[in-house]
Amino acid sequence: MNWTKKHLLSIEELTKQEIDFIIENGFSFKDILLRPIKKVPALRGKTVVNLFFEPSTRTLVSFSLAEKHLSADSVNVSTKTSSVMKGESLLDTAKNIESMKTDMVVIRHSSPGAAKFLSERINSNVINAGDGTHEHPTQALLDFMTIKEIYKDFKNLKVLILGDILHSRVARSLLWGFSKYGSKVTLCAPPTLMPLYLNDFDVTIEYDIDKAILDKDVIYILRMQLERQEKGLFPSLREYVKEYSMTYERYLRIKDRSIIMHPGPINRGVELDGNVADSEKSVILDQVTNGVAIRMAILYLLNGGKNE
Amino acid sequence: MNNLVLKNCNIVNYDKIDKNKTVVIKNGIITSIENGNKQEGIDLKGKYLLPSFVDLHSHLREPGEEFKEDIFTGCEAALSGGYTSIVIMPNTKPPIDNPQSITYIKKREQEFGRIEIYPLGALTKNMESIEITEMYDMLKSGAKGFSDDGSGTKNSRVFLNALRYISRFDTFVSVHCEDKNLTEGGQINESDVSIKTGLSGIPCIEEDIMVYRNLKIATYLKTGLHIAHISTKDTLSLIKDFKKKNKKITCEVTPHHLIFDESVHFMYDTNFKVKPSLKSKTDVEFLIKGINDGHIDAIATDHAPHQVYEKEVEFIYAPFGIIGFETSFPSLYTNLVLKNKTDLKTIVKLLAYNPAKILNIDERYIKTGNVANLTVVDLDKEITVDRKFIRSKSINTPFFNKKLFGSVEMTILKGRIVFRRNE
Repeated sequence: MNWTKKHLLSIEELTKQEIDFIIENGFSFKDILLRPIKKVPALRGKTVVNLFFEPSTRTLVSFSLAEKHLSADSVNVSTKTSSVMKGESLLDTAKNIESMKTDMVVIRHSSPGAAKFLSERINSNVINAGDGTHEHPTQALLDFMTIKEIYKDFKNLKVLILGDILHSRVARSLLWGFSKYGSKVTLCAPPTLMPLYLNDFDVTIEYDIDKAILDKDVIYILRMQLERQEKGLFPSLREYVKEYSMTYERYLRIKDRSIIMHPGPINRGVELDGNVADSEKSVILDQVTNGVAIRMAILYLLNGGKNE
Repeated sequence: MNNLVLKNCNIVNYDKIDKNKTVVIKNGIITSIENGNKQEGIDLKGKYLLPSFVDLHSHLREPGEEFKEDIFTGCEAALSGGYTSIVIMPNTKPPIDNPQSITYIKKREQEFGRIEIYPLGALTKNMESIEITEMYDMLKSGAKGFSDDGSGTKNSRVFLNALRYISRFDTFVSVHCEDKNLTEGGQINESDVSIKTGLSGIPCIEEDIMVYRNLKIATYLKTGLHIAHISTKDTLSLIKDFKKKNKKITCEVTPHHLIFDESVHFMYDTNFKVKPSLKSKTDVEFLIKGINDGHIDAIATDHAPHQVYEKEVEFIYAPFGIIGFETSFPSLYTNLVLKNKTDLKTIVKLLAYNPAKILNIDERYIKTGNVANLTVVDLDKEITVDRKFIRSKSINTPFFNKKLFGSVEMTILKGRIVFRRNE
């Protein structure tokens, strides 16, 4: 197939074929990544700006490495806030950067729709590296790639997404992807962290974690943000861990062939026990490796899928 | 003075349409309405003559935020939309919460000289919901009524006292109903749309929870109350119930709540970001039913200007608000009348006849003996909502760069032409 999209803004807008195509390319780039010399000239002479308005280590490093492996010239811009109150607007920042003749912009921002906003106003290719609580498409793609290494067919794959679904952009991207594949998704979270409206997704809601973890092929654990407690959405870490954490005791009861996933960074002892993160069923670090490969694939495809 | 003859026009009142008439105006009063076109005068060539519009809800941003709008630009915008009388809200910076500020507004009205401004004073000082304002003195200075619009009076006891204090006068009290604890941090209505877009949701019950409190207090005190910009089916049914017990309750809806539902937010266009939030298709259907069956009394613009650079930002940073004067009639005509969801007479009733009645000002009915407050519209003419069309300083409307039918061609205040569209 030929890649036709100019931007990568969401999983929602991708077809199943497009997701598969990105993953297929991801595997090719993983081969390159595993070589002693990792550099290919695919993006030589191209300029990529990583525009990060939210703190991030993993995603930023992952994109930077992917860009370097493809021989692109890249710069990182990290700012804590982008608000009209605090100086330059996002639009002005972007227009200024583009005036320096960039080819691609990777943006992470706290406002849903920020990547789409940029894509409608600048000429560069735009990659959404997380827009508020909306989507995090590259994360979901690397997750699907990781799952593909273990399970060939996603149809009827039993998936559990555990944790703060309501505020999770990763959960939204995963939901769109899994629903395109026809997987069987169960969501588990305290009701205050569960969306009240899920009419357009075919999902099962199970509030009891001990029931939810049984018989699942994939257990995807989301990061728990402590500010949710301040906002009164759960009473204490103690109770959260007791009711919703993947403890080692619970780990012992999951299916033999099950895998444990997490988008990182992990809070050991909060949403999952440290021993679970390090266990043999955990593919958390494979996700990180695949992250570089899938981002290489995305950059490559958005650039037209051609070498030089 | 102020003599005018308008011939070859179709007169629309809230209860009937009379075709092919000539209207004779002397000293600002309609002295006769005749058949045919014998007289010398302005030939309207079959355009429609409506009573001029009355807006119960607008924000002119002066004093304090003149970069968004000022009284003069706001008034030009209103006239170009067919409005000759506008209620303006007190949530300026600082708020209009004292007699001197009301006097200032009335002075600016005189300087402008071509429109009637009905300022509302704040119910509480600095709109902080702690102490009530000098309402009697504000009335004497020219306030038409009172409101803590934009925030609402949070403290129930303070609101009850304010309403009770002013109850000896038959005045207009408009309430913005919003449970701030439920709306805080929210961007759009909580629904499948908020979940999919990732824009944090506001539970729609925040509106009727506060509407219930306010209606309950007004009914307890046996006073009138006007509920501003309603947006849900549940709010409407509450109002319906309370109107049976309290005849002095009225309410308004905005054009945008009658035309758009929440699904527009998939575009992340900040020109749709508004409070109250846009609701479901079902809510919109019920609101349209409400204007047709008479349970909703008025259509008000809630004209809320914000500069382009304030709106051209990430969704969560954009301010809430939509401008409405210029597009009110054409958007209603195009989206409701032309789509057979309502008729022209109902639009006239809700834009002109009813709001004038609620404010107790000159009757908006075209007949001999009434003041000639009139609006001429060309229903077949298509306009483009561009920078030139918009008289306001701000262009924050979802209709920007869209085409609409129903052009306001002329606006007449007391027999005097105060706006005429040039080609």
